Amino acid sequence: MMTSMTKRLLVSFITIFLALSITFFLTRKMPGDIFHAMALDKMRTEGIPFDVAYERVIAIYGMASGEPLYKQYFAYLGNTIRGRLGTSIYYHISVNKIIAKAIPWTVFVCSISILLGFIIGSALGTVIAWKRKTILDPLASAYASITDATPSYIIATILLIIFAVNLKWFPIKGAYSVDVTPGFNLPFIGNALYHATLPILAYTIPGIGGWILTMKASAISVLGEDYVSAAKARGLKERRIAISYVGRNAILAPFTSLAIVFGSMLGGATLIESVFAYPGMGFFFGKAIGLRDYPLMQGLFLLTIGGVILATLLADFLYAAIDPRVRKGG
Amino acid sequence: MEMMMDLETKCLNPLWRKMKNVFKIVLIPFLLSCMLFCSPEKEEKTVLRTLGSWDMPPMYNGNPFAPGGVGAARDFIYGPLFGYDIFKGEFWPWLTLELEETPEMLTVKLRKDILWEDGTPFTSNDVYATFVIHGGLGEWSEIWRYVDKIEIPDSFTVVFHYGSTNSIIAKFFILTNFIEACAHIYGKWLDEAEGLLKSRKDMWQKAALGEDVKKLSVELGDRTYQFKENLHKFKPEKPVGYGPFKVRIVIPDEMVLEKSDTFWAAKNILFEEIRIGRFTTNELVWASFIAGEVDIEKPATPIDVVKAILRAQPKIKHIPVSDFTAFCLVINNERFPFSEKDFRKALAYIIDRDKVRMVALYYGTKVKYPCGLLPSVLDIWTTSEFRQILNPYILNHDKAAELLEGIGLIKDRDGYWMTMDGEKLNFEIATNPNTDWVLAAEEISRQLTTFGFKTNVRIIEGTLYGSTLGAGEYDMAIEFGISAKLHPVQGYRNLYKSREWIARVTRFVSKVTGPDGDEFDLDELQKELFTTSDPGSQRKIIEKLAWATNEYLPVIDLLEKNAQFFICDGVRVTGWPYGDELQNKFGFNFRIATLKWMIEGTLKPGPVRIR
Repeated sequence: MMTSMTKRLLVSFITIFLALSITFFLTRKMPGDIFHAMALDKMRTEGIPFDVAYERVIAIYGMASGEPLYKQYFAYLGNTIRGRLGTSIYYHISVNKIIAKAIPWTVFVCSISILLGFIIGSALGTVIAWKRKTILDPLASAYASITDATPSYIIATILLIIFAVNLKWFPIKGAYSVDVTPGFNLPFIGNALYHATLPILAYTIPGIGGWILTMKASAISVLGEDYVSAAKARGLKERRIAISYVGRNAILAPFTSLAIVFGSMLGGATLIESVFAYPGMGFFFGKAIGLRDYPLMQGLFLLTIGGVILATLLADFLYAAIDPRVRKGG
Repeated sequence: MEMMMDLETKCLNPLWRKMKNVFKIVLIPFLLSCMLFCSPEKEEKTVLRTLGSWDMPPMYNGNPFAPGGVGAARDFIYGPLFGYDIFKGEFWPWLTLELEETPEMLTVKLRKDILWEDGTPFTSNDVYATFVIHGGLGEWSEIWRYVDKIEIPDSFTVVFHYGSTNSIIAKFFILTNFIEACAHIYGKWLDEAEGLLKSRKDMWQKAALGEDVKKLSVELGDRTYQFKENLHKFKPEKPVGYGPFKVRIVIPDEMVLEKSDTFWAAKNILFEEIRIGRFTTNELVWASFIAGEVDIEKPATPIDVVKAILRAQPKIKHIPVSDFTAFCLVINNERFPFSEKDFRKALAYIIDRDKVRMVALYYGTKVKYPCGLLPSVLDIWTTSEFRQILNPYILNHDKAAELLEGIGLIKDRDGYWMTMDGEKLNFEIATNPNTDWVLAAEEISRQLTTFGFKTNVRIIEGTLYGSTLGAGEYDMAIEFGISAKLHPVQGYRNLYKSREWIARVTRFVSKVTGPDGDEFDLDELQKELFTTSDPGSQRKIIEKLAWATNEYLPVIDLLEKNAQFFICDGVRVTGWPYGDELQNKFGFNFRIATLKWMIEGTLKPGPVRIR
């Protein structure tokens, strides 16, 4: 008889396999001819005839005569199992190499932003739930509604205009400057942090609102539980009730969401990365889709899907660790 | 405030205390040391800052033939044999000293003092290698279809032998394409490239004689693919050039070029570095200009943003320079009623072209006569007497109504036009999602709807746009219908050569009747222009083509696009020339123009240096 964890693992593998297969066929069925579009662009910019532009595009980016789709599919599956994500059609280098270069930037900015958003949002959510008859409640709700409704690239643009263009406190774009040597050294880390400040804020500001609302809702539901009333009746200190009784129980639901948010961060945030010209996964997602670079697209999809599934799995494990009821199969 | 303090005391004090400790012990020293170490004292340098694009590392490489190769550094490290002033019709030497031309050949004498960065002399072998490798890859057919062979009698002379069919623009491409292949590095691919080029020329010859070359073409395609794959595998970290600057470092966001000591006029170059930021989006470019971080670039910019930039940085100048392309309303000449000449003429009377320009591309140039000739070169190629016979199609709804009634269209009770059979005439304007294109389409749609033709805008994703138009699945569309960077023949080929893009899309029948009742074929006429070298004869043919385009309107020219240059003068760089000199040189290539002015001593470092 399979344990629940084995079942979950099996379901995760099946999900990944299905997602891989669907994305493989869907990406290839996307309409549009990128070579045609590139040739038109070349024709306009270089003032050469369309035929010549088309020849030139094929000479640089064109593929060899295509294999049947099913053969490509099995080859793709085989290579993926071996950890080879193929070669980018556009860049002519291994997709693994491209992802390896982009992923640290995305993880760097996103993980800091998500953690910051989660810590601040959850803390504020608990406080607001605890003091929900005060002015803090409508203020937090208004903040959450505004930041949730504002697209993150707008927030990014506002931050850019205020802090980079006008105040000149932070750089307008990029991940680090040419004067530092990339590596594990203080100048580089400092420089990267300095460049990442605005992207991190652009992610964090809208993130906080969501966490406030989630945590507040969760905490309010916990506040009505008998064990909280019992704790109050026993005369326990408010601080202890808030942290140990309310906070610890209320964090369970947001925690699952946090794991999934962490998983999906690998997809990057195309628009924020585009606003700050940040060289993360989002940048390459945009590029791969625009260029119909199937191997790169698939590699990025695989990573995002894998990230979400792994994070969900991890959330299950952690949930069990935090909540004894789950551990006991309750 | 009181409430927060209460909250802190009651719930969060222990947590706060722990966090504060962590902050004091770990984070503050870390951040302080980061700030200390990341801003070391550096020397001040004379720098020009611009923008460009390149593939980020790890894709970036130094192979000019491979994807990811060279990028924005190209214009600063390589160059053409000659530059070209389109308004003056003159070539000016860049890698060369002299140019001799006969109907059979073109001879160029190279400068003898050019060195590649690695110290190897730049010779005719490098020019030969560049042309042949591009030919082997199946590129530069605009040259190789008209050049039989390239001869290099000595190290500094290159002779291009024309074939039996010549073209007037082959010469432009020969002289203005960039020389990128150093023979001592790329020479190992030369034999294979020569073989492929020979096969390709044989195939063209057989195809011209009417032979079936399908099998040959497939075989050649496979060979070319293998050649390309091998050539693309060569990925040096940085390119080797011979220009005034060389690549020092490339990171995702910035490319730094430093002055090359081996450049022939290195002593004249007073700039130590060129820093190229990544051109990602127009918005980011505008922000960079407002922050005063860029010296020159040409982002497409709406009028309000232009004003904001000029307000924020008074030393910036905004100068529109022709892009030598025209925005057109492309018409599907196969569909009724667009197949009717008078209907197309009526459209030209209905559409307020200047309003379209103001809405879509404010800094574009007004088209006075829709005739397939760019407004900026109209006076160069036509006489004032000729221009008087061209129809300017000034906004005239009455004239349009008269023409429509003439082809049997009538108005319904609501004021909308329909056929005699009562069929309503509703149209669609296709456009790709570029903001200016969409704005133009929406404005025309509004004008046509107001006049009495219900017209919608259909926005089509970029990769689908070309194929949709190519398949003829549209009524009207926005396109760069005319593109004539070197010569008007390019625009007319695009309009009338059956295999060319706009001719394919408009499906216009190129046989027309002239003003004197004589019939002529516009496709044949553009072919004649393509091989006519005498400027006087060229003008006559151009006038005939312009008249026919103005009369038959296979497309309606809306405006001439201008590149919008923002130049920061007097900060890091000073001495930009303006007026005709700038228009002429920027019309060709603004980066090469910048280098030319640096060599001549016109452009000098400004008072502001960069660490």
